[in-house]
Amino acid sequence: MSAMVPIEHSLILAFLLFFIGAAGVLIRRNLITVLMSIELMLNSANLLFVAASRQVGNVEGQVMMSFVILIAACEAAIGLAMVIAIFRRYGNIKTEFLRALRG
Amino acid sequence: MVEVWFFYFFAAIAVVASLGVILLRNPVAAAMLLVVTLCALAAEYVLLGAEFSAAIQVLVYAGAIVILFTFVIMMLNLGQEEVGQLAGFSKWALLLFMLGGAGVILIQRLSMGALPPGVPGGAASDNTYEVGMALFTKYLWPFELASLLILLALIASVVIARKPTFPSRDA
Repeated sequence: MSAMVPIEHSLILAFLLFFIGAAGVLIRRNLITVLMSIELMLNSANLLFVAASRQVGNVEGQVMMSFVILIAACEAAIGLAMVIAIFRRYGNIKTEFLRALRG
Repeated sequence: MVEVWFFYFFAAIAVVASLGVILLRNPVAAAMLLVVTLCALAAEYVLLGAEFSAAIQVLVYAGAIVILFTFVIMMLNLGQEEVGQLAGFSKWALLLFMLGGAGVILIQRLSMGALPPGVPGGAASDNTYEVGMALFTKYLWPFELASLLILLALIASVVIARKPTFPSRDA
């Protein structure tokens, strides 16, 4: 465990995962895939927390990472409940049907 | 040195699988590739000396959240044709977005300079003990408030997802 990967490489991996997730939010129309992309972005934040925790040598980043996982679980539960409600209302879950707030 | 190569191996797996998550048209395959991504990240956490984080990553993320996604996909009976068109988002805008992101990374990397080296031997000998001590002493109140938040999310998701018992106004 002593041979350390430089923290920059963890940062680059986290940036890559974040941009893949953000691109998924932008290019997909399916609400479930959009929620999965949000999970990818939260995971890149978790990787940053754990890498920083390794870098500074205490466990506070890992504590924050467990809180982020908790928020992600709540977000997934409520988001999927909203997906079910949207499916009942519109009959599918494409994002282009959600235009009630468009002026 | 072996750990370093394992780090890049699992990093490649995570990037390829997450690309599959956003590009595949079959939602069940995307969910399974999300499991692959999460497990590769759990391996990265082990390599970074965070065994407890790796365990809750596998248990909570891959074991609970992705199962929730899979249940919803099965419940809505989403076929291949229903899901999967890419949005009418301009390819050029996407390319610009990616290049902008890469530029941000590059600028940030150049402005950071050399980071200080990590604390040698920073990984605690008993990672779970350390995290548990931090959670139940210093972060006790956030921990208890988090349980309240989970209860709220539980009630809210039940209320949102149930069938409406009264006719809505615009129906």
